[in-house]
Amino acid sequence: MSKYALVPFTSESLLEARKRWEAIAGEDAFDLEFSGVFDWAGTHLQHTDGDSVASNLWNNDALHTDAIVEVVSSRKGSMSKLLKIIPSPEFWDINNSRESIVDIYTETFFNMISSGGFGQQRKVKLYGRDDDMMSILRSIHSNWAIANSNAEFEGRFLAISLN
Amino acid sequence: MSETSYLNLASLPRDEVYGVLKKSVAEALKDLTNDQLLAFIKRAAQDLLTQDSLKKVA
Repeated sequence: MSKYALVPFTSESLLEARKRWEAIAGEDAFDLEFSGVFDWAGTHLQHTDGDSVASNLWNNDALHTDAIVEVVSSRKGSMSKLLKIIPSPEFWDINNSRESIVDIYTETFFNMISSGGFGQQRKVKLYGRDDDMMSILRSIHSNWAIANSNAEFEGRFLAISLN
Repeated sequence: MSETSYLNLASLPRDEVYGVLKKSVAEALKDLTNDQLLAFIKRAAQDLLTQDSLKKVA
């Protein structure tokens, strides 16, 4: 079994993540940094056309949520787009978390691509929300040399598709 | 299965895809200071997309 899986949240798993993240961050920091995220996620547990859904980057080894991932499907449900990755406050201790942070972003991208289900367009898009995420996407773009597939920018989205 | 008969992205070579992604993420983040990396991982929680902007990307 892989260390990570990108799975739907349930009300229960979201509540567990909320409790754990609040315990790690502390009540004040949690309210400041995450209360809006969890409020949003609680109303975005299931796919709705034209709206995003909260997904759970689940750590199969530690048995907890390592990141909340915002995904949106196109109106026709034919393509998935990764919008945001929100890592747990567990990783705020950067000196001890650099490798884990690399793993979280890698695993999220990998799960988006490897889970398939991208419909007729056979495409997944990764969104460069800010300069740092654009830097990651440019790096993927420059390193991508996977046979039978393409990585191309469409505005601030990096689109991974089959030839 | 021939190389041209892939049906979806899940059929791509998993190890190769994973390797490219990990190398790319590590390269992109390696020069960020601790403060810059912390700001990056926190930033995503700060500004959720509005319904109007979602309609544009969906």
